Amino acid sequence: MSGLVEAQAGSPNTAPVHLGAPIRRVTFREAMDSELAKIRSVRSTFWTLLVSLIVSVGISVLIGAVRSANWDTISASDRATFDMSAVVLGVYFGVLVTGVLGVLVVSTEYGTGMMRTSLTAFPRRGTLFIAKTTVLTLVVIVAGLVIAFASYLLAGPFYTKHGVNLSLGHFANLRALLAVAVYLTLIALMGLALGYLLRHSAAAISALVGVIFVIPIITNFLPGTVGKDVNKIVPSNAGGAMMMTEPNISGTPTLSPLDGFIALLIWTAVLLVPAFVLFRHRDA
Amino acid sequence: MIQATALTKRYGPRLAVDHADFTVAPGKVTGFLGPNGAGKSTTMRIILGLDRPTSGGVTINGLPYQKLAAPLREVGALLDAKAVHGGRTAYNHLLVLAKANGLPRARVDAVIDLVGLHSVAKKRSGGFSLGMGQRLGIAAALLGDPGIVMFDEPVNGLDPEGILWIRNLMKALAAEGRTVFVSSHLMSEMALTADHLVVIGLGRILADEPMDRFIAQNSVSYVRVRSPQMAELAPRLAQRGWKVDQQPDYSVHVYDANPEQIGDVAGTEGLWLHELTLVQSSLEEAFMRLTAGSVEYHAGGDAAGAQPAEGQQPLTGWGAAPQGAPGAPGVPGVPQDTQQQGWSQSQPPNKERIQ
Repeated sequence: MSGLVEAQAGSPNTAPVHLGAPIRRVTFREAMDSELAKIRSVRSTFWTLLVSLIVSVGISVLIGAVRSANWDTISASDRATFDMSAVVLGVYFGVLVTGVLGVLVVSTEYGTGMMRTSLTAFPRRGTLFIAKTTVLTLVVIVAGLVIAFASYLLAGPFYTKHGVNLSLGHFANLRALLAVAVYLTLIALMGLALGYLLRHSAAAISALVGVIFVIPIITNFLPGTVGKDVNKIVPSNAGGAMMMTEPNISGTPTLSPLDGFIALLIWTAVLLVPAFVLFRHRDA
Repeated sequence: MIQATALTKRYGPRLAVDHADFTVAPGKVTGFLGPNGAGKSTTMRIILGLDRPTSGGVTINGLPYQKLAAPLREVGALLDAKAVHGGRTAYNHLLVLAKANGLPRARVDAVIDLVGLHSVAKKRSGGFSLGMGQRLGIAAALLGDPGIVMFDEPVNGLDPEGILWIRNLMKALAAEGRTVFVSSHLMSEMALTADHLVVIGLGRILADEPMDRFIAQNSVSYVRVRSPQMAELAPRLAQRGWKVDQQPDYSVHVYDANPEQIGDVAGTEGLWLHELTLVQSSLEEAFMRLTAGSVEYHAGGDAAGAQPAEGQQPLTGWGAAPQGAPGAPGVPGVPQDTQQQGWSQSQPPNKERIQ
């Protein structure tokens, strides 16, 4: 065995590449490079993004096709709810999968013990946390834009042929498409935060499902105006509001797109800040 | 150079590491020896900045691990060969680490060749055997060509060829002037590789000295004597100033004398001898004696060597133990390596341990 022979012969220093250069302090740049190499080199990244694309675009197209085929049976008031958010409807479901990607980039490191290896290579935890967060953000923003525009191109025609205005020259329409990428990204960051907080894939994914799907069901039952106000700000409804061209267009009360963005940002921070603090202080 | 100063780590009510002071110097293999649960892995995790000490601290070349400019270029560590994402190929795993410290890609190829993983470099590490995983871990440790290497139980579960490879590698690394710090729960393994020994038991440093001095001080020998006229013989041996220990099986253990001297006494007095055996206790026994009071989990009463009587002795008294303690050499009749793993089997598998 060659390893054996070489080790007996004596010296790792005989390895062909020497690192004679003076030791240079590693920076955020190295942490980013490493995190990018990490996310690219596991298959779960590819699969979660592909599934998210298929679910988001597929459901959007399916619903668009059904609506288009039965256009005459849809009431005028229902038709009035069709804006860009209807075109990207599948994102409400696809968001779970990108959220899972956010969970997995952290929880698999804890699950496998890779986190300890990572921290040995880059022990400045704050920097490492920010690098990982940045890399996930970049990856999901790109994926989100692909999902948004693919939905627009494939599901949009079912609406435009019945006269719905989806022109991207109209700012609210463009904003709604960009909001798809922002929504997916913020939910993925919430998944990442849950991964840090719970350090366990199944637990963090369950929590994410709770945040996205279960909380709105519960708040939906809250009575009165207080109940409606609370219901508006839960993550999925705040995210939904971001993707609408105007508030309340869906028929149920929603925040304005900007307020929806702010609400979702606060939700993300509520999870991400404790995750950051705990990651820096907890034993790995 | 690794330097620990009053290093303490508390998990709830339990002290995993208790005011540990030790220094690991370059140019030699320093063995870090202790029973399971003694605090070896905890200490190593603290050295690497993975766990925070409750108090005290440890520095590497004068700095805490987190302050190292490019950690992989100064310290290479193999704590747990399974601490890799099994879905990543060996090559990519090393590449991820190389990038984190700005190391060139060529260095990844170099360490892959060094550990002999070339043929499986593009395979996902999840399918690796224990030996291959260990090699991958060592490749990662050597990636930055570090001056300090740390291995936690590197030979555990390896086949003889793998064990030999790792032993030779550690010696070669030390010969190059690097600091090599390797933990083990097997004295026999350390005796083969280590130049210096740091012994830990229940979180406390019990010994920190060169291997040869440890051997000299701890290889206790005695002479086992059987005689049908022991009632007459024993007092006469004691008169010579030798320590005579009555054993339950009616033999006696005589310290500080050699068989010739005892035989001469018996012959002079005209007493019959049925046995006169020089018993050299093994290093493994010395280690067991040293850590007797600090083994975390004992097996049931009959586990050989797990519960020698000198457990009550102050731990610092180990150097003098053979003179004072009844039954000090532990295991009557089976003094050699046959017993060496007695205590390591004494841990119930279902108990959680902190290493």
